[in-house]
Amino acid sequence: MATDKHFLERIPNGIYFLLIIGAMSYITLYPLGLPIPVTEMTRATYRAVEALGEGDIMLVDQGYGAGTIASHEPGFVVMFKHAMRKGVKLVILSTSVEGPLLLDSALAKINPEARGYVYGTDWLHVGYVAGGEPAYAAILQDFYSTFTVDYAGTPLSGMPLAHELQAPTYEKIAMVYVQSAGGDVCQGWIRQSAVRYDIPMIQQPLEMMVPTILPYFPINCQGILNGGIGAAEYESVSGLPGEAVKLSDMLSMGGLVCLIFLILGNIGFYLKPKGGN
Amino acid sequence: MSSSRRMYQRQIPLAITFIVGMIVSFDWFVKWEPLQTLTTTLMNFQIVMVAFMMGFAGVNLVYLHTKRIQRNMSDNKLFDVLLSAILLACLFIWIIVGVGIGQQSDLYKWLFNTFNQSLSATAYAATLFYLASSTYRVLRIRSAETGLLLLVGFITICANIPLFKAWFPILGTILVWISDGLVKYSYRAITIGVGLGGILMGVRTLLAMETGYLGATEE
Repeated sequence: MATDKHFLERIPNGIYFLLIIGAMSYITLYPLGLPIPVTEMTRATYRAVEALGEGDIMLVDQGYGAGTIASHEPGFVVMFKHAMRKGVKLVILSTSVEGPLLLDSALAKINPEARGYVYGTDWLHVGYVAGGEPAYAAILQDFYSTFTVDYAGTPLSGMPLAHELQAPTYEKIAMVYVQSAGGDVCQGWIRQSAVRYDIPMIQQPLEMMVPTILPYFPINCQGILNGGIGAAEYESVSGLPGEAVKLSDMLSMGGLVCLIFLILGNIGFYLKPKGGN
Repeated sequence: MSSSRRMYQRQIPLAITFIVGMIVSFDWFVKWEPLQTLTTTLMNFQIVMVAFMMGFAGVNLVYLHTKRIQRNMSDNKLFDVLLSAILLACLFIWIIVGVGIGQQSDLYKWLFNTFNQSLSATAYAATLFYLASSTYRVLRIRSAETGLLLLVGFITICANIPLFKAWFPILGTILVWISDGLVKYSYRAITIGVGLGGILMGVRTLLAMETGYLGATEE
């Protein structure tokens, strides 16, 4: 079929995709190591965590799946490391079915036991929780009655950290950290913890979901990590470098190719012969 | 509809909705321990119901695809039969391994890491190419409005790329202006509007003026 499009508008997808893959692969092999400018959202997140004291409890919704692991796992790892540095205790649950199965990979990079963090005393993992927003409300009211065993099936009755979370749980939680690809999860946590109990909250949604959370920042949500870039910025500002910094370079190159093609497409649009439909 | 049937299908569910809704609503405003305990119990009940619904969905999936296999076998659509068979096989393998051996077992983790994680990550990563392709082929400056849209989009993309932000720090300032000045407040207005709509919907549901959640009922 004949087309009236300029050739700059008709570059085959195959070439375009190969260029994206090539650019991202190249930068993975030869990182630029550019400085990462830190946004106010990330600085606010860092300040909120820095304000926590030793022994404070952070409730973490590790609500990411395999699809977004590249963005979310570095955020989880750096936050866990920062919390350990501050002596903050962590209670991990997941609003994603896949979340608990992805935790092993993150824990292998953190290695909490080697750093003196004892399971059941300093951190706890209770696995997947179904039920959406009412479940968040139930957890914050009485964590101990909502969960009876941890993810491995060990009764919580033998764990000191679980005992600390007896009703009213919301009085014992110093911060909620939510990682999710879904805006409903992020907003649900804001409604149930930040709005209702005024618990400080930080979130790491995907980049595309950040505008959904922005209206709550910084009143109900003290900090936002802008997806994978936010994790890279957090690694930079906290002095705990990890995998997100590499991701930052990859995003730069992938984005650069997209932008070049966006410009080429528009140049082609204006160069093509006018007339017809 | 007979009066007894009407009672079971409408009046009792509406009464339960009203009572549960009022308890949970009051708990938001009144800090009274027995009420909090009752609310927590109701919330926990909801968690159990969702878990049950997920199991029910699994049973429904088996029923649906068993029927589909039977129908496609008779229509000689063997590829469709194969797809349904793969789905059912995966479902049963995961249930047997997960319930029988446990989610902590090496086999379950192997299944997850080998199949689920790889496929899920691949499917998500593939959307990048669709997005990139659509950005290239669709976004054109055809009018002043689309020009403005593209300009804002262009700046936002540039400002979200660490490379550009490092080279041109002014981009970060512009992005903050767009986020704080345009996105945050317009989105906040939308959120407040949606919230008011939600409150209205909740009140209508509690007062039995909104009965869509009961499904189709005969009048």
